[in-house]
Amino acid sequence: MTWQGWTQFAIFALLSTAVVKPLGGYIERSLDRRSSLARLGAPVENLFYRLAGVEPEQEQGWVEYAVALLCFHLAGIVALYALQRLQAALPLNPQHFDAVTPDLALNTAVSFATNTSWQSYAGETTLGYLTQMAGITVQSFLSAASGIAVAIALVRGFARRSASTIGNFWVDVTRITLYVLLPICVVAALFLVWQGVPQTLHSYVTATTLEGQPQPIALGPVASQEVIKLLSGDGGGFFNANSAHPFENPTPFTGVVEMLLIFLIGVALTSTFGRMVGDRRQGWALYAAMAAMFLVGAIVVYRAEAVGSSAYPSSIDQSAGPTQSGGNMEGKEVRFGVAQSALFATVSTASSDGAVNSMHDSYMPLSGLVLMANMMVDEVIVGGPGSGLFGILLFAIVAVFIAGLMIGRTPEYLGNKIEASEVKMAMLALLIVPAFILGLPAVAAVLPVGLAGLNNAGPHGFSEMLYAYTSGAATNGSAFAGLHANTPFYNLTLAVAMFAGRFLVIVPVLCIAGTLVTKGRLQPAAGAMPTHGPLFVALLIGTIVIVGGLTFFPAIALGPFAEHFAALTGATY
Amino acid sequence: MLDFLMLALLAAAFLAALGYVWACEHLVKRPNHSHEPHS
Repeated sequence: MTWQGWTQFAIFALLSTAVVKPLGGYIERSLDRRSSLARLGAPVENLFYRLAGVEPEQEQGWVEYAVALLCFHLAGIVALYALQRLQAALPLNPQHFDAVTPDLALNTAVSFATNTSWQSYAGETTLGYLTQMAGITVQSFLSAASGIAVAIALVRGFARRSASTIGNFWVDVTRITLYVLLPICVVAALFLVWQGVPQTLHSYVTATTLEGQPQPIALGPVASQEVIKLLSGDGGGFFNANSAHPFENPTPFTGVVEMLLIFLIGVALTSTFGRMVGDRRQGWALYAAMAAMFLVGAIVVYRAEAVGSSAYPSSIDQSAGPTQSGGNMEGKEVRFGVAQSALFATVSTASSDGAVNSMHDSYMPLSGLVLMANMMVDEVIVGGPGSGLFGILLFAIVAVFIAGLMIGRTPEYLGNKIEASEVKMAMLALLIVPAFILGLPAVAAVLPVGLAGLNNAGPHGFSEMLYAYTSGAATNGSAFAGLHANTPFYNLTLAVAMFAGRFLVIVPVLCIAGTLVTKGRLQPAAGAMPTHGPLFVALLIGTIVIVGGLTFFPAIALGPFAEHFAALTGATY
Repeated sequence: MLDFLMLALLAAAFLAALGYVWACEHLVKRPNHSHEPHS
């Protein structure tokens, strides 16, 4: 580990913390159309409502809100599926790519509509520009907007008193897209173009290599897709190599900015939460829990990668020096080295984004464990836009419930009595994802069609399967690599995991919002547990770690742990 | 043919999700008897 590496960690931590307050406030004002940009864009926004027949003043109960969300994404899945199947006959396909196969098209459509962005395909050899722009990019915007909308609806549940509605889904999605996602994307896309990311509709160019062979160089509207890929928590790359590709992530400077874009909305929403519930300390408490868990994970990954592997021959120099970053450089870009690769991998898995600038399959077993654990805890360590906030609020409900049991008081959170309905729904939302993370690899591990996709044997092969379904059900989308997933079996089972991991969690979250919003506020009592201090932060982290640990330890023991201890005896897979 | 199969799978998933909404609604609407005295 080097001081340069630690400096990158420190700069990233400072930048991430610095954006929390201003952006959180801006999001809160934009939702009520109080920001300058929102006032300016009001005529455009109203035009959308008139065209769609939406009554913006008419709010919805949680069932209406949930049904609107499901219908919205069903339409998105069908549209993206159709674009892929018909792309050979559509314009803006200069490479004349054929139609995507039905199972892959369904997998990809579900993947991007659920904010997962699992990719069983290589973008530059599969999708035309129209599919990338009107399909993938649009779904990245809309899935992020709906995730934020759900989180805001839940916060309204905590903040409102004796009401019956939690907002209007169409209004929330429109305002988040127009005033939050779009402005940031325009500015950041221009930055990426300045740094060397292509933005063109021209066909690929052909270069001649030093050996005299022709080499096609893939181009396209990369910058516009790259930005929302990061900001939306989507992570689906224009190119197969994702953010390791020099046209997606050309410089170490863009590397830092890309990581910041991944975290931007997730961290800022903690501040939005604090403002909306009328106590900003509550937001900082959630941010502190997220930051603490993130830093521990990032340090473990950095250390494991910097130390490297004892399985390498002694002739391989793994020490850091002026000409190399040292450590385990397999699967990593020399441009980024161990420190930025480790940081990017932790940011990506903690945040539900799933973008990669290095191949996670080549990480040390303990690093792979952290990357999987980040996703297994429902991606509450910052998490995706909206999904991170509502995920950690689910754990907060469970934490105050456990605290209530310990001290013999009725659980309360933010002046709301937490009753059986909320705890049942929170547990349902928290258990549905593990059911798919653990159940589907169990099926794949015993079926020949599942085992046929593996490129490695033993615990590493099991990790590849476990990682794939974890990534799908937790709507992360990053790939461990090493798994040949473009088969009907993996495409369809992963589509099931992504659909369930997104919508079967969102429905109980909205249900909690619907039950909370009807309640009156409890008067602060002397014996109530404060939820803005270090004690609650520690309780929240403990709840997340214990629930995650108890649920996933057996599976982790069969994968990364077994591989780690096998590697100590010299066995590799 | 395969397109119809994929869209049928999607339709089934959507209907299951709507059923899930209905189930959640009824789960929270059930009266809470946990504080009633036991006989």
